[in-house]
Amino acid sequence: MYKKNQLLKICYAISLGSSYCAYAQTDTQQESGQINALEEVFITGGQERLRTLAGSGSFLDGETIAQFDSTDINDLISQVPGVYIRFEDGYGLRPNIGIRGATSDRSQKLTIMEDGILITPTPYSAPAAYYFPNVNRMEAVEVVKGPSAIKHGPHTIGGAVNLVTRPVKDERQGEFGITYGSDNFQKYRAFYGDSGEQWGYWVDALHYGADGFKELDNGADTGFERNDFNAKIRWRSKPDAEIQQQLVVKIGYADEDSDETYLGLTDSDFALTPNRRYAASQLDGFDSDHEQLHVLHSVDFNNDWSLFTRAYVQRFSRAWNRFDGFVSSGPGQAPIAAIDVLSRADAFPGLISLLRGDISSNGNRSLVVDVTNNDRDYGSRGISFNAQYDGDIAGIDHILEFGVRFHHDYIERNHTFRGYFVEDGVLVFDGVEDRQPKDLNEARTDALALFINDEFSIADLKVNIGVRYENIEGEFDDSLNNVQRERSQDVITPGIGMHYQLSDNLGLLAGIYKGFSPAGPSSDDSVDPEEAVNYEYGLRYDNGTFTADVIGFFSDYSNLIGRCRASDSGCNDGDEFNGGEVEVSGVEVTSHYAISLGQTLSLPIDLTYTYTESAFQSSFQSSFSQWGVVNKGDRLPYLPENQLRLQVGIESANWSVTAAAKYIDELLEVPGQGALVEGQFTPSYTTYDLAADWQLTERFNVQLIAENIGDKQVIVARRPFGARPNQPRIVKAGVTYKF
Amino acid sequence: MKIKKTARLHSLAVLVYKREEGFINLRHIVKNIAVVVSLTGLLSACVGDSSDGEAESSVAESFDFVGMMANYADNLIVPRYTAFTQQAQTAAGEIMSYCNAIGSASEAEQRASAQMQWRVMMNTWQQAEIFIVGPAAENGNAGRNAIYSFASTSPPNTCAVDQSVVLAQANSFDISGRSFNSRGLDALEYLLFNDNLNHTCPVQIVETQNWNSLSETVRKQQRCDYAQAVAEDLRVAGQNLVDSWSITGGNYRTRFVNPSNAEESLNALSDALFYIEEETKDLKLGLPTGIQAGCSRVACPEATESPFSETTLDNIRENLLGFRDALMGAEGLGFDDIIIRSGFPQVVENFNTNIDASLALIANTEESLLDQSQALLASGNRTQCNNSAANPENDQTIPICSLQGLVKRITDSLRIDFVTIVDIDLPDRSQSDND
Repeated sequence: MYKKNQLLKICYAISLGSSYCAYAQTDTQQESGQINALEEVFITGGQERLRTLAGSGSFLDGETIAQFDSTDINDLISQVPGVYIRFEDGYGLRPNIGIRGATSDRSQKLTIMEDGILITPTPYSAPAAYYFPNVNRMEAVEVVKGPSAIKHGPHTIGGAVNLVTRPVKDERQGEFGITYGSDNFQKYRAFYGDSGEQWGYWVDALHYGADGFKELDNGADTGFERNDFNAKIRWRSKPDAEIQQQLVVKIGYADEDSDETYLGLTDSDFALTPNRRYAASQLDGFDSDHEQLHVLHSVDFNNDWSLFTRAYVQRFSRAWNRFDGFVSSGPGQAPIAAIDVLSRADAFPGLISLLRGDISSNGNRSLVVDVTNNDRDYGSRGISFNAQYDGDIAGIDHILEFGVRFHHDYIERNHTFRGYFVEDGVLVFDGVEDRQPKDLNEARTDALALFINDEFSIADLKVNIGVRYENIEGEFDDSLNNVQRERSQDVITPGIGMHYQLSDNLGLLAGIYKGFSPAGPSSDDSVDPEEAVNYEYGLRYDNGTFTADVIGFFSDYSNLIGRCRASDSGCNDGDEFNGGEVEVSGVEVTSHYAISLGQTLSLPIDLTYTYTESAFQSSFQSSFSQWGVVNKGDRLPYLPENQLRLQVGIESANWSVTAAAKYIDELLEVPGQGALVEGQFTPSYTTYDLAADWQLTERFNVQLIAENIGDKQVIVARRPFGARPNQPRIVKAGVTYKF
Repeated sequence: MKIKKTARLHSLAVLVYKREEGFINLRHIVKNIAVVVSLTGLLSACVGDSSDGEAESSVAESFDFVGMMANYADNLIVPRYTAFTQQAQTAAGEIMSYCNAIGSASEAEQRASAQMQWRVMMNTWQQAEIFIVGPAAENGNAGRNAIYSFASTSPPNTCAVDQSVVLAQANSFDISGRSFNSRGLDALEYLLFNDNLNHTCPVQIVETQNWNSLSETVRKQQRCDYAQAVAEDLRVAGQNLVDSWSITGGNYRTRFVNPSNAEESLNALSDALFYIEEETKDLKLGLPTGIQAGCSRVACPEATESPFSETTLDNIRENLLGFRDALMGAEGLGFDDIIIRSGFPQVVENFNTNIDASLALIANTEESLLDQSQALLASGNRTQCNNSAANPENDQTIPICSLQGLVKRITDSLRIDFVTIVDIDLPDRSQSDND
């Protein structure tokens, strides 16, 4: 794979952006050969338009994704400042991504899209992102923060992530790639596409999996397999048509079969064998399948007006059969929660021994392990229209956008459980068939979203102003507890961003908007939607070879929402809790410097740094286990004060070597302040990755990648149930053949 | 009670984590960048955190109840059951030696050894009496009454013991089928300490009608045989309690420590503390001294606990030691930590002062409680006892009356200070003070 300048790989822009992004755009256009197809799916409008965003945004292109052959969105997106990751399974199967203080818990506070279409299973009714598109098949990943986020709801509180699939390119393309790595990691990718004057298509098949780096006590696999099949068909007008149109139909199917668990380790066991998995998790597994149909239409009316239409239907079903604690020992007896046992292993040594399989239940009804099948079906459908005027109004250039989206989604939960004795390290069904389900409910939402956005320039000042309206009608029907709720939410969220070009090299920017994340339909009226007034301000320096963006942000939450997931104790899945006023602020720094080492070599250096502080503004006690007792001034959990990524590469015409170091500060696991409390935070750590790429011939490319070469493993989280590690040292080698 | 279960996650142990070092010290780079960024003044909007970081939540919300319950289960309750069970096993051996020695030269010596082992068991159990929670308290304290039925609805009955002694001679005899009033430590006390070999039953009781005609040796032997069965029964009863707390048995410990049951467990422990008032102060001291309304005479020596061994003061001493552990959690988390963290350390000091004074008085008292009660009854005058109880430090003319006064100070603190600070309800049985 030919390596372009590192400038192409990441483009950060705030409002006016920089010539850096313009350069990147030119090159990408040349490679893609199809501008329109890209534009219609880029929420940033493509790299060129990044400069005109009302707020900060980031663009990770295909080469960035390919650089470390990323299959884990967590690793990839850590290159974006202001983004926080809570690692869970080590492979990024179910990412936990947060932006600027919005909780990272199952990426539920982000608007996540594929080609501009809401892609998580139910972004309104249950926004936890149990489906996340495989990043390895993507052409680009965009992250939008700041005022421009209001164009992409419903979760504007933190920002939006858009995954961009490959466009249908003009020339015939074929590709087959195979990668093999540690723990029997295997990845196969086959891609073929062709295009004529009007019709074009591609088909894309991706399979990857591994045996897993964790070790079950019984020796069974702990890995996963994922399949992803997608096809895109494109029709477009003849080049000489008076009105240019393009229609893209995209179908996709993805499935996953993984041996994943929520069960982690005690701290003391982690210290001995961080990759161990207790015997009690031996039945755990996640099965899912996802189907989607996307239809994208664009028309250029050739009079400064254009219209983009997106229609979508998606289905997702999943069943996660997993250890969930212990079955109640008798009527009226509260079962002990798994998180309580794992977080206080010192107080429950016997139960820990049972989880390990060190002792047996011996038929004792008070020692029955709860294995719950969290079975859920999701669906969403909708259609959106974006009309755009790009022309002159009263002598001022405007880009005026009008958007409307009709969306419906639903979730059906049927959570059942069975009891198992632990006998000689083996889970044995306890024979009780008629246990009542834990959850049997359905939530539905109909949402109407409107936005207007205008961008105009007056001399060196560029202004981007917009407003979003959402009407959200939710229903919740709990068959188990005979509870029905209806909830209606209306919200108007305005935003404005400005950029002033102070000199040729230096620009100043500022923006303010109201961020929003709706309350779910299952929450009662006492729960308010999540709202914040978000500010950002900063400077961008660019002298052609050196760029530095320094952006401060401040999020003033009037109400933070905590959302209960099945892994939380003391609440029902979907329950929501008010966290009151919260303030989050920080600084994001991105910098790039390219050193030329002669005619054929260059030394690109990239730095991403985020400093964050946060504080609850009131003291309260919450039944939400992730908060518990909160004192005024407590920091938010899972928000590192400092995180840094430093990447240095050497690139020539046909080979490159890239090294990256990533540092993540301590993470609080419960709200707190002052001295760190043992067992309630994860330690800071640094990992180092290395990627070598060699373009053997025009068609053959080989890659050698080593992640976490220092094999540094620490506790990256104690949620859901106990300490879990980051991925150990992983080495993988791949070859790609293009034709 | 206002204990909230979410408070369980908060540990008392605070340690500053020693940060790790990478291959290169990225943390230093991070700090330097942070300094540079701060100097730019861009971070003008710092979050409004409280400057002092002072916790504003109540003690009840932030206290480590999981740690406290685990401490009580692992260090205070189950070890006493375990020790008692082992002591019962030892006692069975000692009693067997005594049985074998009846009629021989070593009879008195072996009997003294058996009596001594009974005292050891009794001391252990008198401390355990302050921890009657969980399995020991279930079914109307059945688990506890199987070991010691004093002050129960089925109090010790010497006639019932005499009947069992006779019945135990049959091969088909099963002690577990007998009433608690013929088993337990009180029955064993009667069997080992009572020098009167005649039975104590009315004439119409069939089982004992021929008893007094048996030879002295036979009667000693049969009582000793039954004592062996009682000791074994005590071992079984103790082991049952151990098993009921064990994870491989009844697994009650998990329920007790489960943070979801923190309120239930805390209430059970605090209710159990009131043994020191209901049983120790009112029954063990109040009745024999005549201070308690239940005694309508100058004194009621017949209400004395452990009348055959005359070890009531030892029992009270152990009650006080057990009470102190139950209040303080011994070396671990206990109620005293709640009280101190609530800002009332003087209350803990007062408890300690009065407990120490009570223990000192017992240590300096040679005359048994039974003898003092009998003397008081014989005097026909309550005035001196009342004076001793009202002014226990300065007037210890009748030590058991002074002791009642000192223990009352403990129970007054329990009823007022403890209940208010720990924010619990008085147990139903202790709603009124009958002094």
